[in-house]
Amino acid sequence: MTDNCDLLVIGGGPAGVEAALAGAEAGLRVVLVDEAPAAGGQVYRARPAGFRGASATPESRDGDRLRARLAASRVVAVFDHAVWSVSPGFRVDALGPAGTRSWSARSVIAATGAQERVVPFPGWTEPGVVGLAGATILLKAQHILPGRRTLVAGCGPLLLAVAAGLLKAGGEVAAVVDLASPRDWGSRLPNLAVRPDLLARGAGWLAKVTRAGVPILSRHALLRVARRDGGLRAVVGPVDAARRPLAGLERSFDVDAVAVGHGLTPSTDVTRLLRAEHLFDPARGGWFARRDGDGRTSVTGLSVAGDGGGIAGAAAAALDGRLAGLAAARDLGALSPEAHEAAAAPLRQQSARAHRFGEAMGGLMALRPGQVDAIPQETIVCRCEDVTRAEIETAMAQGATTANQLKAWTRCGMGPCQGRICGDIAGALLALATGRHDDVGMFTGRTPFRPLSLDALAGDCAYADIALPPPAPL
Amino acid sequence: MARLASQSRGNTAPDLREAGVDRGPPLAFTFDGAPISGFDGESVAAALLAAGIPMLRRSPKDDAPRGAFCWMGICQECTVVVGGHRRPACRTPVTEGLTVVSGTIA
Repeated sequence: MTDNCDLLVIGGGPAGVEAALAGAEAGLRVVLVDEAPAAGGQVYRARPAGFRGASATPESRDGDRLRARLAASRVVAVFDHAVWSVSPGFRVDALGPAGTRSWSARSVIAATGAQERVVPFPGWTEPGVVGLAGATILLKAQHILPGRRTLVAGCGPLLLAVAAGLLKAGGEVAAVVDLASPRDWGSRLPNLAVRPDLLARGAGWLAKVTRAGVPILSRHALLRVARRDGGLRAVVGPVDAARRPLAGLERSFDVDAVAVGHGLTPSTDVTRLLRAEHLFDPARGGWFARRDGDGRTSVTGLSVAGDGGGIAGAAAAALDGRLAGLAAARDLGALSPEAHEAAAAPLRQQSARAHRFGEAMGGLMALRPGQVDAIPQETIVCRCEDVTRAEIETAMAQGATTANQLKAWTRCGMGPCQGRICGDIAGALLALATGRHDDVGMFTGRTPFRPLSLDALAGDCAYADIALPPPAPL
Repeated sequence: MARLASQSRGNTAPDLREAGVDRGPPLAFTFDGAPISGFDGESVAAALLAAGIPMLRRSPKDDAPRGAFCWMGICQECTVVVGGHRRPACRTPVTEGLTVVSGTIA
């Protein structure tokens, strides 16, 4: 069955919820679809309703407020449904526990957020090695530690957030291994200072980690992980300013989990599928759809809001979501240009400020060529298809210069994750050789966005239900 | 198929669940036939991790062990078979009597 709506919002994080609320307040019929059981996205992910006694955090309180506002609104929110296709015009298809649902919508806002980048290293496929963002989900949405003793490595604000979260939940942190130097952090202080609340939160995490006596190894990289005596042995070493490992001086830690992440990349499934124009900017996470100040992409009726349109953080996402929802209301005739401008003008100012903070963080997490160049040849880059860097280099030596050529020649990016985990790194390996990300491009967007079984797609439809024409007379 | 469940350290498994969080009554499910205890609101991947089982499947080409990696339904590394369907274990809630079998994405 296909339902109609004016605006369909994909994603229930801060960008999607604010977009949906702004559209509904202007009188649009709005549907919001998310694959999680509740709104909040990854940043404000809700803890299960049945859990009692876990202490509140600033993030859990912000998430609860967001969920309450959505529940009190006229937005039709559909959870536990993963959008697997968006067709031009627009038709949106989703799969939920009871089967498929679809909507026709006059406009679509993709608020699909970010996913984590992990630069491959030997042993990153071992069970027990998890993403930093994954570790935050375990801690805040499941109240489960990834391990009793965990090494935390990578770059960006999640390092300290995860380390402090592990300690708070009763875990042990072997070390925090940060690619950035204190000077890298210091040079960004002026832009981070526009959000003193978040800066204070970071300082609180740092104090907690320092008090616990956890070693913080700045300008160090996690080099490799190996399974050993039922646990993991993680080896770390210093890097230069380009984040290239320096010879010698390695240290090893015996742990039972490793949480590692190298920044966030925009989730561009919807905008790639609909062939919107995309830009590449390492400081914003890589490829994302070009958008105007109100979120409109190059495809009429399709807007993006939040980290899916370039990494800028949760505060910017909420403001940009509201701007995109207001613009959709104007474009669909629910708001006059004057009413729209009056509502949008103050938000644009706040958004610019939030972007200063978010983009300073984004710059800290930007992928550096030295990190990519340091991936050993025998290391798996595409986890789904077990494709190594050496296989990618072979394809490049044989003439592959674009992401899609590489995919066709090696199967890199062709597995069930659809290249979401490896695409960014595969592109960076190609760009190391060709020097131009614009020529390398992205993996072409394809449906389904998530693995989907044919019987789920067919639903209750049986073979006998298919209307067959009468046989031709003999 | 008891191979992957045998990684459980049973009663010697360290407790990974945060103390002081009341999760309600336990729910029983199985992984490759072995009994596992979880709670309402936990994902299959989280309950298995807490039971000392981080390995959920083997990779199709190298036959190497794999487990939950992104924990948000993107990477598909935690694919298991639930009631005959492949599902990401990190997005599958634990329910009483659930039958989970180690997965494949081949």
